[in-house]
Amino acid sequence: MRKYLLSAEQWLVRVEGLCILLAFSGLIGIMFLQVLYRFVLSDPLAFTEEISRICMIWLVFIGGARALYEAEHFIVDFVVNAMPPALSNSVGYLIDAVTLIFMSVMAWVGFRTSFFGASQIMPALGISVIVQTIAMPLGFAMMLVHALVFLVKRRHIGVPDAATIAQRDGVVHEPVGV
Amino acid sequence: MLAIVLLGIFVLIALRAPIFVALGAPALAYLYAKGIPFGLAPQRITGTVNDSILAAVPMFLLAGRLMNFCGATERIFNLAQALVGHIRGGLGYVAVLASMIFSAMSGSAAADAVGVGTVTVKAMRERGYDPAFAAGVTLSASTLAPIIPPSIIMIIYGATANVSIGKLFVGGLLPGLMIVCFLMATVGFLSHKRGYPKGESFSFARLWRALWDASLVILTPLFIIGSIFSGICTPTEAGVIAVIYVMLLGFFYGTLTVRDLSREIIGAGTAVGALLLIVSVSGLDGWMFSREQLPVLLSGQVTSLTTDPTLIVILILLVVLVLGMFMDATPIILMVVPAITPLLNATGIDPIHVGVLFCIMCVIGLITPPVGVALYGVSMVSRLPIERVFWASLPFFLALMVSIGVLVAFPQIITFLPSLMFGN
Amino acid sequence: LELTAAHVNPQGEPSNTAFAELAERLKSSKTGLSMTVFPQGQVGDEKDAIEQVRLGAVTMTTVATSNLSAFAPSAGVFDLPFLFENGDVQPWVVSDGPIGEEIAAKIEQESGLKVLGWWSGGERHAFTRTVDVKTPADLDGTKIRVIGSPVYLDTFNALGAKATPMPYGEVYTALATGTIDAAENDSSGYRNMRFYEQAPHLSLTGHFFLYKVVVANVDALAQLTPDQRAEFDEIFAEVTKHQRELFATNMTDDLQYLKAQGVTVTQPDKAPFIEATKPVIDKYAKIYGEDLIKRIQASR
Ligand code: NA
Ligand code: NA
Repeated sequence: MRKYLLSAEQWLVRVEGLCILLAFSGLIGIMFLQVLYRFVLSDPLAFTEEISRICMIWLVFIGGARALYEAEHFIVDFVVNAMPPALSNSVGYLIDAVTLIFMSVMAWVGFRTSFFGASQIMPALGISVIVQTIAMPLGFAMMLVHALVFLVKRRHIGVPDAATIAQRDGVVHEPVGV
Repeated sequence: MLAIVLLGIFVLIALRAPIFVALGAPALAYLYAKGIPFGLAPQRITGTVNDSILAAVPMFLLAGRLMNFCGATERIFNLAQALVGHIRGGLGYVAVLASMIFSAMSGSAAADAVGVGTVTVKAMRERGYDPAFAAGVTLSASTLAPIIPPSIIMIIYGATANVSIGKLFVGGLLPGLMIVCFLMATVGFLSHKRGYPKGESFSFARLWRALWDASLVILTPLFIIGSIFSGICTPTEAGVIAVIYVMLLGFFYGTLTVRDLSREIIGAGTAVGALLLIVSVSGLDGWMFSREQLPVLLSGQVTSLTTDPTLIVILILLVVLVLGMFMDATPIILMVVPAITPLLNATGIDPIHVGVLFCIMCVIGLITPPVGVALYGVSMVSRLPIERVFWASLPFFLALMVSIGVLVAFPQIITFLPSLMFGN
Repeated sequence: LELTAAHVNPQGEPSNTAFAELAERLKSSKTGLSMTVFPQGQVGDEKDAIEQVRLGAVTMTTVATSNLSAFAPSAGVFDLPFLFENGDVQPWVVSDGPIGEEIAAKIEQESGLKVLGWWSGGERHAFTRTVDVKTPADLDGTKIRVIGSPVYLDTFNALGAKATPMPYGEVYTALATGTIDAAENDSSGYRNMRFYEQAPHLSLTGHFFLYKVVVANVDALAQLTPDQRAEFDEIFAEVTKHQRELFATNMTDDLQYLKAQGVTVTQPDKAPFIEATKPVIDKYAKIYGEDLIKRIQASR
């Protein structure tokens, strides 16, 4: 089970990387075309704004999932660090539970709402808005997988381990954020 | 109910929940208690970031990372070092100046925080500065972005309060420059007190060499400013110009390969996710606060206390300061401004004066914990915990408060240029 | 029972006033209903508001047909250029008659939203940085910002302009720097957003008439008792009447104010504009039905 989950996560991380790459490159490309066609060719494109918003939503939510894998989400840890280990561990499990429930509800409700709203059309592209809205529940579902892996590895969800922190602080010359 | 929800947010943050969970979970509980369909949550969370203006954030984030990766940052800071490095704490001044230049290209404090922050914090760290000091300077200087025009916040304020956006823009110019001076004075004071390093003594030969090496890099802001003010592109699209220019620069220097580029894009995308997921979930909290009429209640309290115009302005600014701790600038403007506009009109306070002050205070909210997109941005790029970044920025935060005090006492600093350029 | 209403309009705009009035009247009525209003886009833009009404998180909202048509394509017929001969009588003959009922039924079928009434968003006019638009030739090659709706784009491209979609929040700066040369809006938006500071040449082209459709969540309305509903409808009808009147008088005030601000107001001859946009009508007649468009145009 554990082995299966870990390899599934590695597979997922690659998919996320690909999604981020596509969404980000798409955003750069489409905004560049927008400027090019409006200013240089004087022939503004109608659909660039909608495509860039689709890319934005995918970038935010799939990027958000990847950020959980990297334990890059913002946390305030000084209160918990000041607690005795037994207490901080129990608090950790409490927060893990809240986090899991939140992500599950968001993924489930997100899918339902996304399908409920699928009849909405993006005017310039003439396609269903679901190509945009589905990114949010997908992102939360991916987060859920990463969250389970945190627990399987006996770590609290989203809290970077010592190795991750040491790597970040030690490598000043490496570009930040990787 | 609202008090319980706010308490829930605080407790969850303090107990190390990821901030977006801490903002989201109590809001879900609120929806459940009020019988509001859960479907609202995805609607607000997605709807809040469904705005192509926000695309400036990933762009300037990526541009910043690429400048770091391909060595452009080194060149800027060698130049800065050659220019003011011989002064004690020189790079602190440079961080403020870099933000000021950046402000003239961007309307968003978040983009400034991650763009300039990526560059300055790394360079200052390498040159023996306390990284927290570097983060503090950068964070407080990132407030310049929406104060020095162009400014997305001022556009929203002007539209909401029915005040001239052009006048607000021009009105932000002198206060922005004044804040630059105040922040630099703080840098000078701290550098002397803490004995921050001086570099080698000044040499024209070294300056010339550094200038030559950095020549292509320092064209970036010129490209950005030039492309906005010549009407080639909007401030948001200018981020793309920056990304593409820096990309070409990296290929030209031979320090960037396609493989590096795709890794940098994925890394920047991950950072965008961590940053904008908070903005996105805060949209749900914003809905809840409007539903509970929170800002209206608060500003109602203020106006029942006094009728003195200056005191009213100060009280309003205090309300914005408190709200700014928890909320993004846009929802604050959208909720408070309509409530106070009739009162302001009745007391005859200059709308441009109040407007610029209001916007500056909203911007300060972006750097105050627990919810502050610029604070999170700097924390991310400096790899420091947010509480450490905030404590380090406290002296600069005080400098910003003093600036606001000066601006309250001397409205002319704000109103002089607009009345000169547009008349009354 | 508590109702909620959301809208994007700033203070002083007729829809803002109308919702405030509706809330006030309900409070002092015998219905026992109360209404909380989220004004000025507090809960999001018009499309967000529609989604929230569909989900049942908000009871009602008022939105432009150009936004509603993303949810209910049939509403798009009213976005056609120069559909009405005038902006003060004909639109209400259409919306309050059988055509209005027919479209409202289609909207309900397509989007699940109940149409409560048709408010006014006024006529939309073009304004530019440098040119007084007297004929379509004055728009030739002009980069004009429009919302990203196909019929808006087609209309201005047909007039020889370069229709440019752009987020509303960027229009002011884009006009200031010359990224775009022109934009189009109703007089109230032109005034409230201060576009006249950067584009002081207003031409009363009246190319679109904008309905602000008040739509509501069906389940929320079903909770009202027949008595409550009857009284609500009565109050709503009066507020609707007032909203339309306000829009007409506001337009006059706006023009007076704008002229005092140094705006040059041009009254162009509409005939060449109507002629130039004929192909647009023909194109969309295939979608909405030639017969329906003929019936709208024939309504007097
Ligand atoms: Na700026
Ligand atoms: Na804050």
